[in-house]
Amino acid sequence: MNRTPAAEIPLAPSTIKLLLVSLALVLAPHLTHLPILISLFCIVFGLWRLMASTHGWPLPGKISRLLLTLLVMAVVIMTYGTIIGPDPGTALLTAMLGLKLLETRRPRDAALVITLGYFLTVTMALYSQSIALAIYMLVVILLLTATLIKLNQFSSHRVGSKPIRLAAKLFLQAVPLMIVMFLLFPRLPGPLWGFPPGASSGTTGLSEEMTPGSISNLGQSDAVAFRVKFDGPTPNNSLLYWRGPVLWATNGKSWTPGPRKSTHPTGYPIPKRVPVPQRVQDGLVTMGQEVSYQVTLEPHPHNWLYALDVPTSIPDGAMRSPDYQLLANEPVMTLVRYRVTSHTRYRMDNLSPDDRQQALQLVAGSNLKAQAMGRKWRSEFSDDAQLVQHALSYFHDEHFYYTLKPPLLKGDTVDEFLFNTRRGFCEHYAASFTVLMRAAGIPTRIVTGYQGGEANPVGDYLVVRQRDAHAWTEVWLGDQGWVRIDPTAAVAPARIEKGIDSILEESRQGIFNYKLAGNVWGQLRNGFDVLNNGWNQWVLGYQSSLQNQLLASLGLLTWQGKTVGVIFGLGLLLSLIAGLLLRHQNARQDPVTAAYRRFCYKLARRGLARAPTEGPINYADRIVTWRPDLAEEVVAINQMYIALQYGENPTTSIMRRFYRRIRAFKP
Amino acid sequence: MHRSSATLIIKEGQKPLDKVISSINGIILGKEPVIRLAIACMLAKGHLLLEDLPGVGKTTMAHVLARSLGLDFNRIQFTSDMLPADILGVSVYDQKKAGFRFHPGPIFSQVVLADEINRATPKAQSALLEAMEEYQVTTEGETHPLPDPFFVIATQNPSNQIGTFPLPESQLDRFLMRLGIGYPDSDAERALLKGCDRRDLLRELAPAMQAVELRTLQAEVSKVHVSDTLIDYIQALLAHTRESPLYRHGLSPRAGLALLRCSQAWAMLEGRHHVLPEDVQAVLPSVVNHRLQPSPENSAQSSDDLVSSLLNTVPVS
Repeated sequence: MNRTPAAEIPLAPSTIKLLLVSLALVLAPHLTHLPILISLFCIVFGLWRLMASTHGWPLPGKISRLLLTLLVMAVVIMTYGTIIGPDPGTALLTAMLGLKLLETRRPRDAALVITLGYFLTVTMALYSQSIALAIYMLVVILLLTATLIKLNQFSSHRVGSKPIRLAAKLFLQAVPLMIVMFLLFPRLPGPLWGFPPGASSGTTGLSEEMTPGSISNLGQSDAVAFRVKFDGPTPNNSLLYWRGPVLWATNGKSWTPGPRKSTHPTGYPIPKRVPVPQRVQDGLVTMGQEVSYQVTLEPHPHNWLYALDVPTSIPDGAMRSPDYQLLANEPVMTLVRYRVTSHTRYRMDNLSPDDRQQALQLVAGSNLKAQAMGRKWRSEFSDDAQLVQHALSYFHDEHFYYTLKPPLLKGDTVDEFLFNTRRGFCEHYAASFTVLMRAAGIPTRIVTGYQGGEANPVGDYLVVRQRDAHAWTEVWLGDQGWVRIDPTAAVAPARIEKGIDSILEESRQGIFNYKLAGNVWGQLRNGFDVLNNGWNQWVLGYQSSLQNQLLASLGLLTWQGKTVGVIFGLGLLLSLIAGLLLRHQNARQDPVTAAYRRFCYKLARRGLARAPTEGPINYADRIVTWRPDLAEEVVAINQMYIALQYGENPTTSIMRRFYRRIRAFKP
Repeated sequence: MHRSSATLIIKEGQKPLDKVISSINGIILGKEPVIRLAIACMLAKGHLLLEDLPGVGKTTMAHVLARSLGLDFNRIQFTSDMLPADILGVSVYDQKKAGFRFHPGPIFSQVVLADEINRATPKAQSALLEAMEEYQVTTEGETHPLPDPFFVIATQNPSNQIGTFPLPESQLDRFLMRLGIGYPDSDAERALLKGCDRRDLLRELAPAMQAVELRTLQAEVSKVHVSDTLIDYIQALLAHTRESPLYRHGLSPRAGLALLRCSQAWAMLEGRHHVLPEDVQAVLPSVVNHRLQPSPENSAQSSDDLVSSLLNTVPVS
């Protein structure tokens, strides 16, 4: 017989088409970040393979393939300068997959291509971890599996249903395993591979430098910064100041945290580590009720953790800087979740001589008009509080406008703003207010962060988006300590009272009837955000600490315990599945068949297994030939089995004898 | 044929059949399995297609079968210029009666040997095949019933020879079984070479059974018990051919019925009153191999491969 092994049969055109469609779906999400040339190569290779199978185009020979491989490598190296790392790695993998298509002639090659396809599907998670992409990945995996099944169909003899249905069935069977692996597979603190900078959605966060007048489109981003679930009622909107980096230093144009602290390799100062109780006491007097809540923070490139002004507890693995900002030990590259308590009524009483000097720092020779006005106010008011009040009414009474699209500023930006354009948003007001105060000799610092947030009534939590980013100031008023002054509130109280949406609404009104559409849209968006929040909380937020909690609640504390737990859990699950499947099979068996199976099993343990396609007589004959000593017993049992299973009138007395003899049967 | 001590339950009704088999065995040497299958086919009231090279004894086999079962026998040698009337018969004007009178053709016989059926044109072939299906001949408005029992044993050479019209699939389906005979083994061949002329032996052969007895046995075949478990097995076999991509088409319900009837006949030959999976497996290759074609992706496989993969895949109960 000269049968061709299945792996050598040329691929059918329909299989090739299915393969190409699934690979196109694998490629699609990568198109956004792959070098254009690589994407083009892959598309061309795919089309080439398609034409080869439908129109008989020739596939390239060995030399051309080698040249193409070198070309592709060159493109990757020229684009990234290396072939190591997630980005170049993905590009190279994609390109090699495309190349492999050109020599895919047999099911064996196609199986390799599909394996690569699975791997490339996983790399999608390097670039986004949203629900939509997760669903998309599942679809792609389903399709790849279906292709794999179709590929193997005419070589396997046992085929039940259509490939996609079989793939779906396999997939559903894998779900319990997936869940257990998800819960128990050891998780490393932090991502397994270093995300390339900007790979996650971290590009849109606050930055550590503030340059008023340099941007004219802040506040437009709907991206979620973090979500907050309060244990009690949500505090009033005017109290929702989410504290971020505190800016002390200026060069006349930009504001930075300043050089007063030693610098972290990533560019951010690490505050001194002090024991917790002391830190909580550290110049801080709290009053009133504490507010406790849980924050789920989206990834961003810094180690800032946002908390309601002013945080009075510190999450594990975090610390609090002397200016009361919460800091994680590592940049927040993955979604993190933490519990904090804050006091919205407090007094901050720490001002070292160093701090005072920093909080009064101005650049000589810049923004002269503003500095002059600050000094003039100083001469008019001896009381600091009165001076601050005066400055606020200055912003309120003069013709200042709050706008998200201010003109760009040149030269002395504060002067330009205060005496010329008078149109700006929080950064402009905070910066100019600080310059005025410092000129008047009042220590002042800028606090950046977020203000407000949008309550999601569906999920009962607060969503803070990038457009809620805000900057305000704190002034040192001797006996009262640091006092929060938000000059923006003097100009646009609505921004603080109702949140930024009230401002945005105005600027959107011209485009379409926002209120009407906004209702429906708002509902939809709230619902969708609940979904996203759930995904964040329960899937992406399931990191090593949460896993440890879960395992600890199961009593598995040590790594030995965990290992045993994981193995035990998996074993239990697998045997459960196997048991269910077998039970399902047994359920369809009548007792006679089941008893006969036991009989066969007893013989199988002696090395005399029945082939599944072997009829009872052939089997009995075989046993009698091999083990003449069993002949009498086997022949008798077999005759009874035939009478019961195939005979005309099986009687219960035969059945009873049949069961008895099988029970007694000991080969 | 090896039969196990475990199942040797000889029944009275089987004795004439044993006689038939042994008398055929005396003429066609070393071919008992083929003879048993051919007899099973006739017990199941089916027509038989013998396909093999010239000279392996197809014609003799057909003749011996008719003779030992006590049936009359006609042979039609198919040729490419043959017309339907040459098979069915012709109406001739009778001057005495002043009307047409039907002269029955060679098909009016209990056993008809259609020799080299693939040499005839499709027109002549279909005349025969219609008669096989209807058990009657209709010419010029008159219907003439064929004798009972009525068997057609057709022979054909493997169809890749020049000048043949291979039977289309739909007509192959009319034959209950397709059997090959094959070369005799060396002992049988030696006996054949040393023995006397087969034709002389054939002339001397006495019928081992009467046509009436055969009819009774045919009626009993359908009473052989078939349990639900066995039906499950047959259904699993049919389902496999319909679902697996190995086959171009699955087996038809008619093929399923054919398989069942042949299995019953085989069980009777084995002296049992009930059908076992072994019976199905014994007749399955002959019943099924002319009804299965490989799928286009799989065209390298022969029909023997297909049948053995079917048998080796579908589990028993």
